[in-house]
Amino acid sequence: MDLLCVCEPRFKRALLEIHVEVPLDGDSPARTLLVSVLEQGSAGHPSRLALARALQEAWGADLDLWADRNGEVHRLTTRVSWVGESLLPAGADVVSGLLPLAREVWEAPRRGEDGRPFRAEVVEREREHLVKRIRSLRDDRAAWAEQRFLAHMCADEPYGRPPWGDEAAMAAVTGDDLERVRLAALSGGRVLAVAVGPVEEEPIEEFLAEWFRDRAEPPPLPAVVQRRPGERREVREELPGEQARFHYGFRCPLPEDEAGREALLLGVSVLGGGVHSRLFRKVREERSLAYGISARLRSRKGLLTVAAGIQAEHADEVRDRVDAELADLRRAGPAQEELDHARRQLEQRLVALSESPGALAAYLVREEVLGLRRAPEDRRAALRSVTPAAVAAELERPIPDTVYLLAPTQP
Amino acid sequence: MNSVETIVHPQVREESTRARAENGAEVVVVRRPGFAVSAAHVGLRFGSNDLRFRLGDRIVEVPPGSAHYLEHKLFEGRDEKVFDRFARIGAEFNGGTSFTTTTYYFTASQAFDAGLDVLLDFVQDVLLTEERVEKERGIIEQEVRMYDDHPSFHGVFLLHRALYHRHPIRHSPGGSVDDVRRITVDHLRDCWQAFYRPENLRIAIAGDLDPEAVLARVEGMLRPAVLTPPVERLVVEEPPTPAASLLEEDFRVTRPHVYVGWRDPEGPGLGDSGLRRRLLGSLALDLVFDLASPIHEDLYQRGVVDDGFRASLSVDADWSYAAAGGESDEPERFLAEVAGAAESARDRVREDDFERVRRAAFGRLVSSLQSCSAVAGHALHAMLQEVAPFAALDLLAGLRFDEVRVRMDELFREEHRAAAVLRPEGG
Repeated sequence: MDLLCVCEPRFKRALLEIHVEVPLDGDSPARTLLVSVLEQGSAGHPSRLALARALQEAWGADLDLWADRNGEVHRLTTRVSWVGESLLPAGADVVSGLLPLAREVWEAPRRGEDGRPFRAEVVEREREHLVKRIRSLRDDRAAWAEQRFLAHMCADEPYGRPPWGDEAAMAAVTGDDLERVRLAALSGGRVLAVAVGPVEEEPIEEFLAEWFRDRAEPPPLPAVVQRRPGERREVREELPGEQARFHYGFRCPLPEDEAGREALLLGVSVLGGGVHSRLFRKVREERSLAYGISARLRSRKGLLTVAAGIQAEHADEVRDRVDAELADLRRAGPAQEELDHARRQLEQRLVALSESPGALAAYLVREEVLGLRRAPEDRRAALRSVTPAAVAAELERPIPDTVYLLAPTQP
Repeated sequence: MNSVETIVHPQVREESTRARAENGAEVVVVRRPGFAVSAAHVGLRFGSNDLRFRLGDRIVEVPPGSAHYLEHKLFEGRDEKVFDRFARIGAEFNGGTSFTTTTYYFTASQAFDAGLDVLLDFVQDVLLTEERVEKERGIIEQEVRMYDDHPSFHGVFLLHRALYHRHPIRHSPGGSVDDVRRITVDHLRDCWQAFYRPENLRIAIAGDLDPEAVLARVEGMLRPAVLTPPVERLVVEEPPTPAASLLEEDFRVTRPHVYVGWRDPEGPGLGDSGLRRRLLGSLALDLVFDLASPIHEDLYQRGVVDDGFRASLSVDADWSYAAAGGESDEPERFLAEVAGAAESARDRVREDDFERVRRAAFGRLVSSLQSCSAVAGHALHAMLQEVAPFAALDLLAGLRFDEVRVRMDELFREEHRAAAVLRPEGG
């Protein structure tokens, strides 16, 4: 179990996140349901109401559990956050009750009758909620389009499968399944904790050590599947709606060396990382084709993806513009001014990490799981040495894979 | 600068300096030693609800979405795009148009003074031409379509049309695609002339800065006040009760989306009394619909609502309503049970519930004031609501249980209630 801790008394809110990482696999739907069931109460706080009241009593503390996809890992996160005690009346003690609460929901869930691991009606109700939520996912066109895009692009890879599975998989999960994946996650998942804000490291370290003391070393997480694309695929699907959603995916493994990684990151920023980027200027400002268009690097999986909301008839033009700008950046590199704009923006974001507990925690975890562990100051220094030629060279990495369009249904 | 006043706010460990510029604009600077990223927010009370006003001897009517369109055009800058000017210093920036306000902000870890100059320059200067306005139309249409694809966005505005007869809150801040296509350069020029007056600006700045130096810089950037009478807003008369008890529409949803709202006959106005009423409404809503409420828990346990159920309060000077909504396979049951629970809640809440809810509200408010941008945004919002920065903390501490019960009684009434349902197309 690793703990990353930044004690920063300037923060008004403290947070502790405990991530348990296991492979994305056939048990992912059960884990998704598990976190919903755990939020319904524990042995000591036997209802959602009781948990919520305990958090209100603690001056508006939060305890949130969720499961999501991070690369090809299923990450189960428990986040506790609370207002810094120096801002509360003298004698207010928030943290001593909150940390045990986080452990209690995982280790002492509310049990069912007749020795069942969970209450049957709770499992049934939460499962039904999730089945209905899966059924209505397409109501959110933007989220649905991204899901379908990843499902096509990574069809035979864990990354292409949504962690909640499908309606049938979710409907088949039993209370016994939940208990099995709970125990497996606690005993065999990779645990990574991060604490940021007005916190003291020692009590948190002791709390976590006590919680996870009897665990054996967890097995390593499987390597990320990297498929080499062949011909670029074009996929079009339709759904009733107002706007088409465009996605363009490239295979793009991260460079091994630090200089290469920073050059690639700057290249992606120049391509589509904000209002300074090529795509924003060409697609939005010059052609008025989109409100927003952006490129992002999915580092843990090794993908570069571009997304925009457009009119369907403009999809080919947007695709060709992405190709043209990428080709131009490979050939000539970014202009020095473009590179400077991208660099300043990334530098500002690194500086801004010191102002937000959530952003700082996310940064620390990301660096840890990528095995990089770079301090923000070191990254800023590395960014300053990137040249246009280095950016051009690193942008040779992305290989076109899939163009996906979710278009409004033709009348 | 006139009437410079520095106040320490012990609850949040902040120190603010308030001043009024020579031209009448108000400024707040929050000094935050040790913070590396500073923020400046500027705004004015002009929003999407301002559709009809008297400008000189003319009555002007503009299509819904005009304030938002104008916000977009300000970013074009007169001589150079604002994007480029901020990009040169690595600043993050954005703007936003609500029903009643338009705001702009930037954050920067270096060259803050240069960023402040950019911000105060482009909000006091605009070049509007037919070509420039036309160029933006496609971009804004895509933004509007993006929101139109969200069922919850569509559902909330269906509820607004049920709650209000004529109030402009019936229109979304961006307007519809048809509205956007009707907006002309003349509409935008009229809006600019009427509302974007230097004296109307409210400016909030937070960072590791010298307030005196910042105030001097702001004063130097502000243009003289416009020497014509203030614009007169022509307010539509709104009856005190909802326009319809229920509106239904077919929409692209898998399950019905259900919304129920309770409106006040009129808005609470601005200033401390308005804020006080807003806080009472917020606590009343928490007492009924927060996860820690037995009323909510009962609805959840009986399957009336699921974990997507949400409740919120929407208030400004001339409107106020509370709403709750979610997905349900039984919309009629949802409406009857949620409405019944809220309208009978007054006699079910206890004083210890109130104290617990207030304590949580205090903790959340205090700890939300973290980044300099959050603090500046809070201070700007306060000025636009005509209250002092951080005033909510003192007001919250002074609220009483009996006041919240009275507020619940006023708000959650059948005659104030309206509902909206989005039903699956072809379902």
